[in-house]
Amino acid sequence: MQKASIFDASDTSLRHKNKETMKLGNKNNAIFNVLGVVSIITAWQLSAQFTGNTDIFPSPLKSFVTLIELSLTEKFWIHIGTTLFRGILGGIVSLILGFLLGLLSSINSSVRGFIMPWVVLLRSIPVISVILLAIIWLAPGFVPFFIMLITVTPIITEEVSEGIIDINGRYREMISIYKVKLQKQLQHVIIPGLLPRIASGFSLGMGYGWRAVVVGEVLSRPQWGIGDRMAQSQNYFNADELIAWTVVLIVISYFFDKLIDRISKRLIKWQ
Amino acid sequence: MSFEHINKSFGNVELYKDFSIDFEENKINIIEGASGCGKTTLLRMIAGLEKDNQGKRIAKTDSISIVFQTPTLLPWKTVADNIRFVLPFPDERLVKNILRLLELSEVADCYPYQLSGGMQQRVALARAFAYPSDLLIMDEPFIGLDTPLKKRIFRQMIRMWRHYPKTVILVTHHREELTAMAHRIVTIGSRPVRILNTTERNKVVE
Repeated sequence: MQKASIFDASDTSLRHKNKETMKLGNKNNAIFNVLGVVSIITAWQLSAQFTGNTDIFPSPLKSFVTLIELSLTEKFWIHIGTTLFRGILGGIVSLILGFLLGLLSSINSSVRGFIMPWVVLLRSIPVISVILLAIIWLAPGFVPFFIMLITVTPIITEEVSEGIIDINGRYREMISIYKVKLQKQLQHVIIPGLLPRIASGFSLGMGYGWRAVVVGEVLSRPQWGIGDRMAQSQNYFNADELIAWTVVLIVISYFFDKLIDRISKRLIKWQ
Repeated sequence: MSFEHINKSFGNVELYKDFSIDFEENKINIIEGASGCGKTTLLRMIAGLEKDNQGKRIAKTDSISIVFQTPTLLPWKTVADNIRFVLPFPDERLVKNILRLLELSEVADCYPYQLSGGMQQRVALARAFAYPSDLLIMDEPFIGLDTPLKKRIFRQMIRMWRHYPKTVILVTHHREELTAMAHRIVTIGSRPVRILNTTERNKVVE
């Protein structure tokens, strides 16, 4: 995207006014964000009152109290840690595997022709089918990790493969004329050029991945994990606990989104 | 620097048939002609990016720098790093000198997205001169820039050339603007391509 050059604007007072307008805009946005959250909680409270059954439809306050009570137990943190471990490990392994497969598939069109049908297949299979098959094939503890792998790897593979083709198209002639060596190409052209694609692919993949990991835990019922706790809560009709664990998942997903975003901004400051 | 008996066809179209052309070594040469007459194809063959009908390279040297129509800078590298990127060995003095000659010292730590199109082309030019080449090829490098800016960059290029002499072959379809600043101007045209006119000058006029 062609941005206006900082060396083109001659009117500094205009730039100052634009900055002030942006600050005002951000303040307005924050106010509306808060109003939006308040409206969600209000709607929740009104729905709970309307239902009149706090076991089936707990109020925000009851759910919050339940969350606090759970967080005071040691097991709460072990469950969270286990899900996080599965998700993060799955994410990291997917990143490495996806990068290598993407790199391989960019070597020549025959290798790409071989790998891409696998990518398309894995992206097309409904996640629930993968989960149910994994439960048949694997021990319960491995199912969530496997789900994360199947969800994120094809996304990264596709991004890396297409990214390398795009980078080659743009810079191949320049690299050839200036006789840039392969190691330098990889370090200074391919990897930095791929970072935006990998970051956005990883963010997308992890977003799907967390949900898939928890569904995997719900269905495979490993000994530890947020999904296992959610299934337990559902079995005993503890809606307040179910909502508490859902809030935990939302926080985890939001945190990882922001973390990836922050890391991306540091690595990709040139965009 | 001579290129002789060039044959190049695209499908049934014979673009170059037994075509020969000379350039003055270590001088500024301009190839000019109407849009679509085959200048870029000739330049790409001289640069070794395309081969002739027999699949052979016509390039006499592989010590070449090039400035394309678009700057082709690496967006994730600063101006100074884009220049350093092509150097076979680190040479900070060279980088600093080239930045100074092209009036880019102030933006040395900026990224390409922060620069205008004209400035990005100057960085591409700086990179081309920094690279230890015998031949500098420029394919309509000032396209899209206004005339005063084109002339300013071209003058800076001549200043660079005086410090770092190379054989320069520049392609343009803007005859009036730049040809006063060249040692040799070769006008090509027709189909198959032939030389329509050659003008020589002893020294460039800045």
